[in-house]
Amino acid sequence: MKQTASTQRYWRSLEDLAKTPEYQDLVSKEFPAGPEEEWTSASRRRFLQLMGASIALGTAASCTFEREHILPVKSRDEDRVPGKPKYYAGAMELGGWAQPLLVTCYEGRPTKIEGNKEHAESRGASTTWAQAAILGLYDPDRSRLALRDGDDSSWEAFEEFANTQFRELKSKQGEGLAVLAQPSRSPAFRRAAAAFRKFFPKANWTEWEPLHSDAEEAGCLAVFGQSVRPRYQLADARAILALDDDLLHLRPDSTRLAREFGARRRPEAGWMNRLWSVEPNFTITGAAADHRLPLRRAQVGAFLALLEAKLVEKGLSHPQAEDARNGAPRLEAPGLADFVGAVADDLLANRGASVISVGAAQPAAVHARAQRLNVLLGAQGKTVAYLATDGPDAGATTLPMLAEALRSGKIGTLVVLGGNPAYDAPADLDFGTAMAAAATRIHLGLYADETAAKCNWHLPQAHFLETWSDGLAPDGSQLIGQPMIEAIWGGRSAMETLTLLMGNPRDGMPMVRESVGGSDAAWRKSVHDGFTAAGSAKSVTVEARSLPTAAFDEASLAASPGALELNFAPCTKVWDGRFANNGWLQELPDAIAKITWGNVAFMSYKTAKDLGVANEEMIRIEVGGRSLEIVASTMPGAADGQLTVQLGYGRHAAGHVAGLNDDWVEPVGFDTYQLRASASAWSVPGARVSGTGVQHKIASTQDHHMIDKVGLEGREDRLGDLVRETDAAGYEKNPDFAKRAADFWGPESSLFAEIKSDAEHKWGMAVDLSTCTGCGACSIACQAENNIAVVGREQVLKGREMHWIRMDRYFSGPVENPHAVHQPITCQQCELAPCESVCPVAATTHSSEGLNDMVYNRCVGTRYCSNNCPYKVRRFNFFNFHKDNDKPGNEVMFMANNPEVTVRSRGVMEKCTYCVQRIQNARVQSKVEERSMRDGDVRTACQEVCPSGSIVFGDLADPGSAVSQAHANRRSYTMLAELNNKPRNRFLARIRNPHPSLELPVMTAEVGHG
Amino acid sequence: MVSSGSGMFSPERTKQAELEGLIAPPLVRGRDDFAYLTETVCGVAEAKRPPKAWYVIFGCGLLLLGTLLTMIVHLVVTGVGVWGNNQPVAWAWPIVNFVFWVGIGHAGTLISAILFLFRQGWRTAINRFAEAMTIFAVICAGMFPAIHVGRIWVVYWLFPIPNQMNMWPNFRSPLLWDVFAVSTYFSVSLLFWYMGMVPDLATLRDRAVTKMRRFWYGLFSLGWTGSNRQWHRYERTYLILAALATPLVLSVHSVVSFDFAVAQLPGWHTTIFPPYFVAGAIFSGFAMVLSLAIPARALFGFKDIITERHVELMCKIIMATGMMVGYAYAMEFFMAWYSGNRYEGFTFVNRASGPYWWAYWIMVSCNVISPQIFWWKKARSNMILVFIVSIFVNIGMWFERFVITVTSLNRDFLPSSWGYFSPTIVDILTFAGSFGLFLTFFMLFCRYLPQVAIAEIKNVTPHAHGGAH
Repeated sequence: MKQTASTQRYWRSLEDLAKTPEYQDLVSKEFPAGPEEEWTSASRRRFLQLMGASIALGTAASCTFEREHILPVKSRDEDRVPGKPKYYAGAMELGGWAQPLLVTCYEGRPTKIEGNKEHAESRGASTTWAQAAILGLYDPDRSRLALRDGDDSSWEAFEEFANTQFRELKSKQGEGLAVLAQPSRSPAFRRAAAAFRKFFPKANWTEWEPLHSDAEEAGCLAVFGQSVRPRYQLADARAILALDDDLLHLRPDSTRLAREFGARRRPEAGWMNRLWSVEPNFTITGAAADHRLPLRRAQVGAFLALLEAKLVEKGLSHPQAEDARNGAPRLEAPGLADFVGAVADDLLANRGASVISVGAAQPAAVHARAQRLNVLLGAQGKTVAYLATDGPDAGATTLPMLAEALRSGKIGTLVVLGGNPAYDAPADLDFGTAMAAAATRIHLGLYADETAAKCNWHLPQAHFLETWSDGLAPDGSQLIGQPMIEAIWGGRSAMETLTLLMGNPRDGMPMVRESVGGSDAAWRKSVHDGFTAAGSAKSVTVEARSLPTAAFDEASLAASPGALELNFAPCTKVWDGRFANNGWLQELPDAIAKITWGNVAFMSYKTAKDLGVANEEMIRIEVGGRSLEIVASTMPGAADGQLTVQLGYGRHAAGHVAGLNDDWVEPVGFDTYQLRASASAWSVPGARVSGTGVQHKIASTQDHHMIDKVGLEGREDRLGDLVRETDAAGYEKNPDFAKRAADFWGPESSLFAEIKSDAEHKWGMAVDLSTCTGCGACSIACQAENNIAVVGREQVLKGREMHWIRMDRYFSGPVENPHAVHQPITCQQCELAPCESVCPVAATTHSSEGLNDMVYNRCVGTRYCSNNCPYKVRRFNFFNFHKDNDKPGNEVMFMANNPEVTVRSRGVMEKCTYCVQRIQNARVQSKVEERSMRDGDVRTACQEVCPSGSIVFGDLADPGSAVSQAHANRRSYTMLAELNNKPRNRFLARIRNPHPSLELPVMTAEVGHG
Repeated sequence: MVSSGSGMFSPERTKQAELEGLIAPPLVRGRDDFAYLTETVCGVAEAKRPPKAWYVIFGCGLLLLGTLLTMIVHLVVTGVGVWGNNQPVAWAWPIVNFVFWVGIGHAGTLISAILFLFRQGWRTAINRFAEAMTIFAVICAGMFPAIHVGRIWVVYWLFPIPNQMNMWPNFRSPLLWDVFAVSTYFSVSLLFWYMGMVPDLATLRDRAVTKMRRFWYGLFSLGWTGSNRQWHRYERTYLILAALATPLVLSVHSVVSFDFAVAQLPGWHTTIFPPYFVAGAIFSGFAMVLSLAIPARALFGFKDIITERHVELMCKIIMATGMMVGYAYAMEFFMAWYSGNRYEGFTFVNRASGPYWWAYWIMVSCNVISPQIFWWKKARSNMILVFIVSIFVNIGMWFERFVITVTSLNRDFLPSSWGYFSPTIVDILTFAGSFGLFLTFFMLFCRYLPQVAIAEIKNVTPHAHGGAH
C-alpha cells in the first residue's frame, strides 16, 4: 500500500489519540464489532479502515465529508477480474448431513449458492435452506461480539478465561465439564471431538438435534442387528410407499430422491413409477403421490401391519407369516381396505422395484417392520441399499441425562457448541433452567439467542461460508467446505472452538486437511471439486431377523373425541427454528398451505367442526400438563382426530425478523416446543383443544380458506383448463389430451402489427407439471438471484408479496382427501404482451429475442401493466422494501445483493426477467470464445435449483434445444391461449399414474379438443 | 320557445294555462325585470359578508383540503403502499375517485354546450354554476392519476415533452389518451366558462365600489364595453366554443372508459363502455348539479332564477340517464352470459354475489331504483326529496366505478391470484379531502363570481320578450 503524506500524519496523531479513554469509548460505540479483537488480530487493512473511519468521524465535528481510504490491490491475482464472479465448491451441513454446493463470489463476497453439479447427490440442484444461506450469512442480527454476562467482550478475553478455566478442568480430567454439541458427521469435527473427549476423559459429551431421526437407526439395528441406514434409489423403483415420510423434501437426500422420482414421471420416458403416501398431514410427498391416505400418526404402524398381513395373504413368503397374518389390528378409515389391497398388489407386482420408506416421526418398530418388508420384497441391492453407520455413541450421554446431571449439580462448566437447547430442548427437561445449575455456561452460536441469554459466555460462531469444514453427504462421500469470505464478525467454527478449549487453538484448514489426508495434489483437487475422490460409501448386505409381534392398543387406534393426537413436524422453511431469522424463508409460502410468516395448528375440516373451532381462530392446546395458544388452520386432506404443528417458531431472541424481546419485536408464530416432551418427540396422544374465540390472521399467499361459494364454483369451472392433467391410461389413449381448441387455432390476427424479429435467439421456457413437487426452492433461488425484497407479514396479509416465481397450488376432489397440484408461475413472457401496450411511458417493452423487458428507470408506477396481466405475475414496490438496509448496522445486508441485478426502489413494477443477466453473461462468454450460444449455456436460477428438473429454459430458435423439444412435446400447452397473448412459457400437462384398481378424480373434465 | 309568448296573457290566465299544461311555466319567476336579476346575482359578490352558512361550508372545505394535503405529503414521503392497493387490485380508490370526479365534471359542459346548441333556454339559470362545478371537479379528478403513480416525481413523463432521454410516451396506452382527453377537456371547459363570464365580470366591474373589486373585475373583464360589435363577436365565439366542446363531452368519458375497455380484464374488456360511461357521467353530473344547486338557491336567494321547473327538468334527465345506465348494467350481464366466455360470466356473477356483492347492490339501488321516484311530479318538485335522491345518485355512481374497478380486478383469470381489497384510512381521508378541494374552490366561486349568467338569463325572461309592464 502506498502511504501518502496525509495517512502518515494520521498515523502519528493516532498514536496519541488511541491511548485516550475517550477514543477507546468512541471506537467501541462506533464499531461494535469488537475493537479489542480488531486491535490485536485484525489485518493491517482492517486496522487502517477502522482507524481512518474513526478519525474521520471522531475529529469531524465540523467536517462535512466522511473520509474513506481505498486500498488498491497491489498485484492482481492471476485470474481475478473485477466484476467477474468466481465459483467455489462448498458444503453445508444440516441435520448432520452435508449438502454439496457451488458458491458464486463477487470480489470475495458470496452472493449465490447452487448445487454442486459434479456431485451425484446434487447434480446442480440444491435445497431451499442452502439457497437461503446467503441471507443468513449477511444477517445483521448475527452476533458480532463475544459476550461476557451480556457485556461486550472478545475472543481474546475468552481465550484468557478458557486458559485458566480449562487448565483447571484438565487437571480434574474434565470432571464437572459437559459439552452439548450438535450431531455432526463431519470427519474433521468427529476427530476434534474424539481428541477433546480423550483430553477430558471424564467430561460429559452430549449431542442434541431437535429434528433427529434416531428411530430409523434404532429400527434398522433391531431388524438387521447391524448399524445401518437405508438409502433409497428411486431410479428403478416402480412402486414407492411413503409412510408418514416426506420422502421428496425432508430426507437428507431428498434432492436426489426428487430427481430420481421425477425422471420416472414423464410418460415419454417409458414406464412411470407410482407413489403411495400415508400421512397425517398434507406434505410435499403427499401432493406428489398418485394415491394418498390420511391416517393419524399412531395409525401408520397399524396400516403397515395390515399391509404386511395382506402381502402374506397374497403370497409373500415371510419368516413370521403367522405373526404377520394375525398381527393386523382393526383399523377403520375411508377407503382403507381398497388402498391396502392395491398397495399390496402393486408391491408384489414390482418385487425388486419397490420402496417402502418410513418417516423420522414413526417409532423404531415401524421402521424395523418396513425395512424387513423391503428386504422380503427383494428391494435390497436394487432400490434400497443399506449403508453402515457409526451406530450409537457409547460414551455419550443423552439430553435428559445431561439435564439430570446439571440439576444434581455435577456439572460446573457447560459448553453449548452450537444449537439452541434453551429453546428447542424437550419442554419436560426445562433445559434453560437446568443450565443455570452450572456455574460456567459457554455458548457458541451464530446468534445471541435464547441459550446465549442464559450463558455467562456467548461466542460468535462462524457461518459455514466463512470457515473450513467437511461433512458427509447422504451417500457417504466426504464433502469439503472452504471459506468464501473472511469471517465477517470474527466467528470460529465448533471444531476450532474445541481446540481452543484444549488450550491449543487451531485453524480449521489444517484440521480439515488432516481429516482428508492424502497427497497435496489430491487435497487441492478435493477442495476444488468440493468432495474427496474416495466417493460414496459401499453398501452392506443385511439379513432380517425375527421381530417381536406387533402389539396395538386398539383403543388408541380408534378415534376418541375430545382427546386428539398432537403431531410435531419440522418446518419446511425454518427447519428446527435455526433459520427463523431468515426473511426469505419466513416469506416463502408453505408448499401446501401457502402460509408465510408463522406456524399454525393444522387440522381437518371435520376435526375443526367437531371441536367447534373456526379457521384462523386462536385455540388452546393442553397436553401433558402443558398448554399453548396457537392459531388453527383447516387443512384439506388432514387426517381426522389429530393436529399437526410445525416446530421452529415463537422465538423471543432470534433477531429482528423472527422475534426479539429486547427490541420489542414480536415473535413470529408460536413456540410449539413448549408442548414437546422428550418421551413423545413427534407425536403425543390425549391433547385437549378448546377455542378461544380470538381471531388471528394467517398471512397466506393464496386465499383458499376465505373463498366463497361463487369463487369455488368459478375455480372448479376453469381449473381443468389452467392445470391440465390426466392419468396414464388417458394419456395413452389420447396423448394430445392437453390441447384445447385455442391450441389448434392458427395464428390469430392482431390489432397491432406483430413485430417480426430476425434475432438469432428466441428464449422460452417449459415447466413440467408432472415432475414438479412444489417444494418452492425455485422461489428462494429466484429471490437470491434477483435481489427480490422481503416485505413482511403485514404486507403479505395485504397481498403484496414480491416473489417472481410463485407456486400456485390447487386442490381438487373431496375435502377429506383431495389431491393437490402445483403450478410454478413466472412471467409467461408473452409475445403479444398485454402489459406492454398499456404502459403509458413504454417502461415495459419487447426485446428482439422475445423477452418482455422491464425498464425500472423508466417506470413511473401506474400499475396498469399489472391490471392487464392475465397471469398476475407483476410485482409492485409499494414501499421502499430495502429501506432496512440503510439502518445503521444493517449495511452488511447490501452484500447479499447480486451485483448483476438492479435493486428496485419504491414505486416501480418488477417481474421475472428470465434471468436476463445470465443470458447476457452467456452471450458475452460465447463471444469471447468466438462461438454461437449453445443449449444449456443459459440456465435460469429457478431451473438450476430445481431438484426434479421440472423447469427447462433455452432457445426456441434452435430446434434441437431441450426447450424446443419440450414445447414440441404433445403434453405441452399454454395457459389462457385463447387470449392470444402467445406466451413463451409452456406447461407440460401432469400425468398421474393411479393404480388400475383405484379410482382417481382427475381435474380435467374434458379430454381432447373441441 | 314556448315561454316566449307567455307575456301576452294576464298573470291569472298564464297560471291557469300552466296548470293545464298548455304552456310551460316561465324560466324566471317573481320580479323578472333586468335590474332585479342583476341585483340578485351581483348582490352575493358585493355583499359585505356572505351568509353564515357560507363560512361553515367554506371552513369544512378548508379543513378537508388540509387533510388532503396532509395525506398527499404522507403519500409522497412513504409510498403508495399507504393505500389499500395490492396484487391483484393494483387500481383501487384513487382511480375510482378519478372516474367519479371526471363523471361529475360532465354536466357542466353538457349544459353549457349541448343544451346551448339545442337552444334549451332553461340552461341559462344553471350553466355558470354547472361549468364552475365542472372545472373544480376536473381539477379533483386530474389530481388522482397524478398522485396515484408510484413515482410521483417523474409523472411528467406521461406528457410528450421533448427530453434528453429521447423518449416519447407510448401512444398505444389508453392512459396516455386519458392525459390528452382530460387536459383538453379541462382547457376547453375553462375557456368556455371564462369567456361566458366576461360580460358579467364587466357588470361587476361597473358596479364596483371598492378599489380591489374595480381592479380585479376590471382585469378579468378584459375591457368589455358591451358594444354591439363585441356582443356580435362574443356570440360567434361562444357558438364556436360550444361546438368545440360538444364532442369533448362525449369523448372525454369515452376515453376514460378506454382505460378499462382496452384492457383484457374480464369486466373491463367491453365495447359497451364508452356510451355507458358517458350516460353515467351525465347522470352523475346532473345529480351533483342538483346537490349543489338546491342548497345554493336557498342560501343565496336564487329561487326565482333556479326555479322548480329547472329542478324538475334536471330530474327528468337524471331519470333518463339513470335508466340508460340501468340498461347498461343489464346488458353487461346479458353479454357476459351470451358470449359464453367463462371468465366474463364469472366476473359478473362474482360482482353480484361475490365478496363485493354489497357494493354492487348499493350501486343498483342508488342508480337504477332510486331515480324511479321521479316518475311522479310531486317527487320532482319536492326539493328535499330531490336533494336526497341526488345524493343517492352520487353515492351510487361512486360505487359504480368501485364495482367496475375493484370487483373486476379482485378475481380475474387465475384463482391463485385472487385477493381482497380493503381501503386504508389514508384512502378514505384522501377521498374526503378531494371534497375539500372541491368545496373550497366552489365556495370561493360562489362568493366572488357571478353564479348565474346574468347577461344570458335576461334573454329568457318574459320581460325580454315584450311582456307588458
